[in-house]
Amino acid sequence: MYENKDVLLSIKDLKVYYSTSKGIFKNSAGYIKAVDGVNLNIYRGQTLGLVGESGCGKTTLGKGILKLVKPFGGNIYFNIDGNSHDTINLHEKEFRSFRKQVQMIFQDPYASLNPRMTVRDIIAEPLICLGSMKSTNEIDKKVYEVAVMCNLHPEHLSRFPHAFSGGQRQRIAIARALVLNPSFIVCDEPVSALDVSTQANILNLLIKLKKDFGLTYLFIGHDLNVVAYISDIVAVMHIGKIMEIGTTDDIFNNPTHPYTRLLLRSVPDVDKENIKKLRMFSRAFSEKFTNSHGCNFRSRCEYAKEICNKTAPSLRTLNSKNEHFVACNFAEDVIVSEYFYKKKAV
Amino acid sequence: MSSEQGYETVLEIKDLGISFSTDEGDVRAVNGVSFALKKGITLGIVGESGSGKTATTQSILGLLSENARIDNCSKVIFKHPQKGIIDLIKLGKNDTNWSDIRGRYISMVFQEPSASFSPIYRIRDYFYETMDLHLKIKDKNKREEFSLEMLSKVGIPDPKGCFGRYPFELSGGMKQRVMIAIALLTHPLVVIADEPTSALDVVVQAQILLLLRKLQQDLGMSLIFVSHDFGVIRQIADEVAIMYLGEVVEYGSIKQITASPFHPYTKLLLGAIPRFEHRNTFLSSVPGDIPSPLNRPSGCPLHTRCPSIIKGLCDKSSPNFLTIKGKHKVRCFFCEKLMKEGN
Repeated sequence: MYENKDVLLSIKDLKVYYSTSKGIFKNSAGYIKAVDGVNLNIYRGQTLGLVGESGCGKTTLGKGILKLVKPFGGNIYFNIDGNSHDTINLHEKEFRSFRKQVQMIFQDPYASLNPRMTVRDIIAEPLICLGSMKSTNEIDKKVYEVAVMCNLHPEHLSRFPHAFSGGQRQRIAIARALVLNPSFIVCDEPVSALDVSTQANILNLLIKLKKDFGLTYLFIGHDLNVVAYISDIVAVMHIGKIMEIGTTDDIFNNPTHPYTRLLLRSVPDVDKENIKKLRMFSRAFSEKFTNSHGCNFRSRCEYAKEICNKTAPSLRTLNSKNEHFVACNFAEDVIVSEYFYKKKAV
Repeated sequence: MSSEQGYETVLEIKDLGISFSTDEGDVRAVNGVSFALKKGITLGIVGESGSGKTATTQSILGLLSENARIDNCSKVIFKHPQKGIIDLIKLGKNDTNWSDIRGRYISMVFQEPSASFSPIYRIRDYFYETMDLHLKIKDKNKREEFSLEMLSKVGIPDPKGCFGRYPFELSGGMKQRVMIAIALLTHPLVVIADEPTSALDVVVQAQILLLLRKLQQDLGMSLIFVSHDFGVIRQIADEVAIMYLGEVVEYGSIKQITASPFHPYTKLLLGAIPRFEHRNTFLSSVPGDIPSPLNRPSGCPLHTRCPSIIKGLCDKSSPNFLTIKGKHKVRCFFCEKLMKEGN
């Protein structure tokens, strides 16, 4: 199923490390491996959902794709007009032409808009920096067009960001991302700062724009309901590594990684009291731990055995369709216990 | 009403109205809110931002800012175990009664765990402060023993190590747990939790919810739980009040409200929650934006966004509460009309 589809973005073994310093001379003390060897394929017209707890490196991965943080290693192949380009090794000047194709919507609409610029200037800025439009009339026309598409009123364009509510600000940020007609947008938790009703507005808008313009999204989020609602494929991340990836159906109906299972059990349900008992494990999260060998989930895992201390499991497939990958030594055991759990629930 | 089903009312809010005077004019944050909190019950308050949830809870403990003005007819009646009935609204800023109530019989868990600790004190200082003020325990060993017991109760893996740390050395979930431990240290009658989990991850959130529920059962306290997340409220609350623009629009037991909501706003809120089963369909969203509190709409506050508006009625006069069944009450002309037609 996957092979026939058009790969838009292919991430190969991407690594983003942050160096830490120690002492008064700021000597380098080692690295925090925020993204540690991630492989991902993003297909044209699909939405890839990326979930994980805070600090697992999901935002860093999104920023790494746009080269907003400098990757430590790995390649990102971006497919334009049938040709594949490695964007990581491009020079700054050459990279600018790719930046038109890739845009980002940031998490906090209260921090991502310049308070001293009018909405018109905010939306027009990408056109001036990267676009080919020179005349003011042309730019105004384009800004107006995009603003209307994002449900903004034309009279809003002359106002400053402080005059807007969170949902309206996020619509301005979406308009800014759309104005260059990109093919790929990284949505970094675009709704997590918003209320439920506004969140529904923004999600509806994102889905509508995707249909209208054939956009591809990388949707980063920690709310599993939202990610499940919007995504075609879901990847689960834990401390810099992808733990499980598969279609939304596979991940939510047949989770095979203990971490995915833990996440799904923790989501509060509106219809029933579902949070009853969690196997609580303390969260070991230290630099020493991420630098050590072995599975990075083992300290919280109910299945962990001696082997998990030694070797880090790599992504492997469990079914013949090659759609569902999991990085766990005991995925088969998880499937069996999940089967009995569901049977008990029914 | 106070002895309904054998539960005793510990805190009752009557006709609470709060206005904030700002440079641009008066902002009416809370408009005629009334509810009664019974012993051992969790009351959930749900609403969008700007619906007056936080102002309501802050007024209980007298934490409102300088520019707030509370209506004269408002009452917050608290049953003090020793001193009897006290109206908390009438207490002045420096009233000596506060030290006996705040942090002793009514505690608060704040929204942002990282913003509510001072970075220059160690965790143990917070515990010692509470014990000095309220429990009058002076013996050092006893104090430490008591606090470590509380810390391990809230699921801190290494209580002794945590005790000597500074707040910034702990993660968000840990800080929230420490705050809950401090709030519960005095075995309060009422705990007010203002969005205690909205800054946390789902796994930690689930742990905190389980913890609060368990501690509530053990200690028999009442809980006011404020949140904008219906899923979270469903897990923890017994009764729920839906607020919109400073008014309670629907009130009932959590099961009644999630299974058969009556008010159009409650329906819209429930429909706006994305669910895995309903994907590929558009979410229902409340049309338009929340009106500015500077110019509140006349009549029913929802009439500017309501899909089932009755023209000429909803925009003119304000509906009263209509009892549907048991505790389930709703404030809506459209529901009144439906009920009349049904009968």
